Amino acid sequence: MKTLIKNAVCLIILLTAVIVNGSGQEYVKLERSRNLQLNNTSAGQEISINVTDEYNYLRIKVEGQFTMGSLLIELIDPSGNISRNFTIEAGGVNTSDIRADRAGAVSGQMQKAFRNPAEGYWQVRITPRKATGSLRIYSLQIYNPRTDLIELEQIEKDTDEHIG
Amino acid sequence: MNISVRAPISKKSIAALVPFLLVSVSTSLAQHKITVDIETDTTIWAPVAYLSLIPDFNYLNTISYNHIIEQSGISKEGLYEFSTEYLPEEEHLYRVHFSKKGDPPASLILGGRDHNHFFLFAERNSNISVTVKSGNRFINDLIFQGYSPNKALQGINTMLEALDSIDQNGNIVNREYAIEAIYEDIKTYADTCSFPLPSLYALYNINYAKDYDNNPAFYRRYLHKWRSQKSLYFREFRSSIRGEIKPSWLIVIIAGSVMLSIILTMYLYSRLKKKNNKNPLSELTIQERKVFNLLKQGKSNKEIAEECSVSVSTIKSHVNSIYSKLDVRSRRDILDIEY
Repeated sequence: MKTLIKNAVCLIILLTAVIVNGSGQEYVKLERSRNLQLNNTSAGQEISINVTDEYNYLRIKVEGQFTMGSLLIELIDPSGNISRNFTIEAGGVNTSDIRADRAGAVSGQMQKAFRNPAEGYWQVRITPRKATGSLRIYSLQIYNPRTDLIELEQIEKDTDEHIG
Repeated sequence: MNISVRAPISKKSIAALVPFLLVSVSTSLAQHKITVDIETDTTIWAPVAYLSLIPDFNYLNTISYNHIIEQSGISKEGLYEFSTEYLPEEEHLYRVHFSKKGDPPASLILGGRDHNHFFLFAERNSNISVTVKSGNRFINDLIFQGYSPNKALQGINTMLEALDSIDQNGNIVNREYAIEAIYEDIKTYADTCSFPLPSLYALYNINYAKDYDNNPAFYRRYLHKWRSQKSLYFREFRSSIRGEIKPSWLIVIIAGSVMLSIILTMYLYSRLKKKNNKNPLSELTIQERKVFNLLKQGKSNKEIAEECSVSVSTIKSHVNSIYSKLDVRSRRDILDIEY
């Protein structure tokens, strides 16, 4: 009897390990990143991210730090709707309360995740007004047949740690 | 003359007044503040919270030093505190945000696990406490106490979180319907909310400019309901809605130009018509008119000269002048003129 229980426990452990290990290999991910440097003469532009049905998860992250001017960033879905936006206004009033070593620098970040995202070209529209600084646009697409939320979150977390 | 007035206050009445005086003194000394009780991981986040005044709802997603009005370090009790005694008397929207270590103080993160800010309504001398629901960490499921409009804000935020969750979890087929349903819920909330600013905040979060095209009557009714609201938030909203209703300046200019052209054309036409209707003989002199009548009778230059007792060359000159004024070329043409 003891041997039977022992064998059963071993079998369960083995099966669990196989499933966990196997599920870890099931997904495919595509990461893309683009860095932009803007100065006060930079014109507006649109960065396209092509989303196909090969992937069932999309995360877009835009982050920037600016020392001058202002910048409007909009994430637009393939239907033309603005999904998220933010504005950075650098410079302005620097009160004595705010640390002088970072005088005027302003940073902004937006991110949005979609399960089964709409197919087509997603746009990140950048509208600078005499903005000086840097911008990073990052997209992550994952294909995971199980679309298990916990698993996707874990992949995201790993990627987060990877991209810092 | 000396007049002395003695207050008719007995010792008993003074004793009765003491508790009231103590209460009023303690009330005036009590600090009015926003207390934020949020656990921040100080290995990631700087132990400072910033308070920004959001001047109108178009700046909900804007980060600027111009909006930051106060900062607070963490107290011994692990709280962040902002005095509300210097805030504007009227109700305004404020944002509290945290910055990551190494990031500038003016730093905004929208979405994701690092979402770094929340909004609240306050007015001068409000007492507000913000805490996180037990079991949650950082800015997630906040509880507002002490200023009623923030309860409404909390309700709206719950619906907005549901919107985000549709993007993350919904499937592509029913996503649009689900989003539309939540937009309708938020709009209904805005319509029935008894607090003006939270109500307007709700509309700004559902892209009302786009919704206006589908349901302008709702927005006209909404504006009428809150017509007494004079805050900058409502003035900005009114001007944006009126912008939708008013025809554009281009249309006004084009319509004006067309009207002006029509009036000018009508004026010129009437003048021309008047000119055409004018008797052409009125331009002839008395002598020319006499010559014209004789020409109509078929008389020659010589006969006319004899009748008028002038030379033939004078008559020739009159005849030429008549031809020119009546725009004719021959005696036959003169015979055809009717008057």
